[in-house]
Amino acid sequence: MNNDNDKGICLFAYNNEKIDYCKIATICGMLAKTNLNLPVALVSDEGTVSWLQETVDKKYIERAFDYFIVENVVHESNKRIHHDSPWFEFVAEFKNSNKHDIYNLSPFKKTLLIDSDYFILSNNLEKIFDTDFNLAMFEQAKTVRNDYPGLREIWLSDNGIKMWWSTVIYFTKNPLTKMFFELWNHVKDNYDYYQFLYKFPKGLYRTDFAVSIATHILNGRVTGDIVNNLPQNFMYFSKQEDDIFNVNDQTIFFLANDVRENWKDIPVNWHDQDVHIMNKQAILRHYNNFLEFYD
Amino acid sequence: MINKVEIIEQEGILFFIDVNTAVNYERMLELAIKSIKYYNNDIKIALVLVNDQGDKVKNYCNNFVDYIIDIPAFVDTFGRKKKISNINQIYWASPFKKNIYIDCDFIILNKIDHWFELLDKRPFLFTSSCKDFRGQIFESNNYKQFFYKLGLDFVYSNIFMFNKDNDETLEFFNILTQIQANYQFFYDKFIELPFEEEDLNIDISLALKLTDNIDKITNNLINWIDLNPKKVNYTDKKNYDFYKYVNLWFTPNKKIKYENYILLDPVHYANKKFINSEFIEDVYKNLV
Repeated sequence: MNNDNDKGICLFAYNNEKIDYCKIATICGMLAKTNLNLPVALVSDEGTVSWLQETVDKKYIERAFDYFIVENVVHESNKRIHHDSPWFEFVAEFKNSNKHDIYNLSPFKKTLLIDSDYFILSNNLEKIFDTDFNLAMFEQAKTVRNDYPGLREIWLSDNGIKMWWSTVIYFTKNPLTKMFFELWNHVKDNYDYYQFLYKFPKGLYRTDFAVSIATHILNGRVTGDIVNNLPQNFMYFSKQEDDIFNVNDQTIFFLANDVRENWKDIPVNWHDQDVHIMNKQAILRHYNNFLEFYD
Repeated sequence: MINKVEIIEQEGILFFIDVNTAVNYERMLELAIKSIKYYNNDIKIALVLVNDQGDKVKNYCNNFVDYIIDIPAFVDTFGRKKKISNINQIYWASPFKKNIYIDCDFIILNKIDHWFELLDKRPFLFTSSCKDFRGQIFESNNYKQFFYKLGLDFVYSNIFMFNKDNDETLEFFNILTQIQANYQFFYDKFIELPFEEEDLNIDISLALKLTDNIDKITNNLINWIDLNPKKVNYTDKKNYDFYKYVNLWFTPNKKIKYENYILLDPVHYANKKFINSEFIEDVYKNLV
């Protein structure tokens, strides 16, 4: 591996029995490379990489990824209820327990870590590499309906700290960011204690909560500026209850669900703006449509 | 109006109490002053006291206040819930050239002596912003809108500063005195909204407007934290009696921790019952 790279993008993809993350990561990698023109490294395990080579056309793999970082990890059980529209749900393992290792795994000096379901449809994030920021994430989010997320995705509890989204993390390698990722690991290792202290919902290990706590501690337990905002006011996301009804070039047509009246959807034509698509099955249903753009 | 007290000290902090047997002002004052003294040992403190309750309060406060100035009531506040109508008298009663006025319901675990520098270039100043416990600017938009509808600029009365023996300050306090002595007349004439009781924030804002001193309302120059209300919802007990619903700690390095936030700025708790809480007992034990 070439360790002299200045800047690049990293993705994690660990398949489980229900979701083919390597296909999602392939789309994600191609979109990121097309719109940001940066090398992409995929962090995965042997099983997922061999499944990728078996099921995804070589030309797409070459287009999507420049590096493969094979990290075989025994993930702790972290079962998550996934929704595919409001009408179907399933339980699958959420393998995110080594995300904090990106500091050691990334081959880049300046890394943009994105979740494999964060689709880059603009060059907004290009600007972050021109800053002198140590660390940046999204502090605020909005749905594709332009609604704010639920309260627990703004504050960890009623009197709690601000939630930062770990979906997209930009960092430069230096002692401060090393400390941040080590602190994140510490929060993960003592998750029950921090759940008690910060009063966030029990159960699923959420990296959003872990990075929020690490940020709060690094700031000296006050509102501070250790972490910067990414160059965009909001991280836009499509909920698991939303569906995709078409993909055309780099335009995604969502059926955005009304959380209060689930039988109501509005069609949303989405383009030129990055989006976090939480309904993985919807992405996979349109896998071939996404690839068509690159044929 | 009281006889003017001559300037004795260059700068100091002023407190004002119109003694009210329903409120434990003495203990609030003791906590406020002892917290100030912990971090600002050299600062002089004066208490302006409107007192028709004998010497009990005076004797109690003598232990921790540098100057006690006992003044007669210019406006009779007997029976009023909020006894604030004589606060304007602090201008004449103060023994300091540079004055910082602070409400009694504050805990000030910070260095604040640099605030006096703000009076180098201004005759007086008020503030229209404060922070919440998270350290973020508290946007009391509803309250601000209410002032706006009255044709006034929003201003807080909890902390303000002034130079004594200054013509502009004198003019301001003269008008404030008139407003507080005749608030119903002034409210009828300038606000056109009936108020059951006098409101100090409105008195000050109106005095600033009438003396053409709106520019003395500053933003973000003085930082302090308001714990009440957390949200703009005045009927929710969780706002007013916040201390019953949140975890508070007094840390070994003499700071207040509100849930997971360390409060780095002066804290306005704005709840008279809070002074009798277990947490305050803990602060007393560890601070005094």
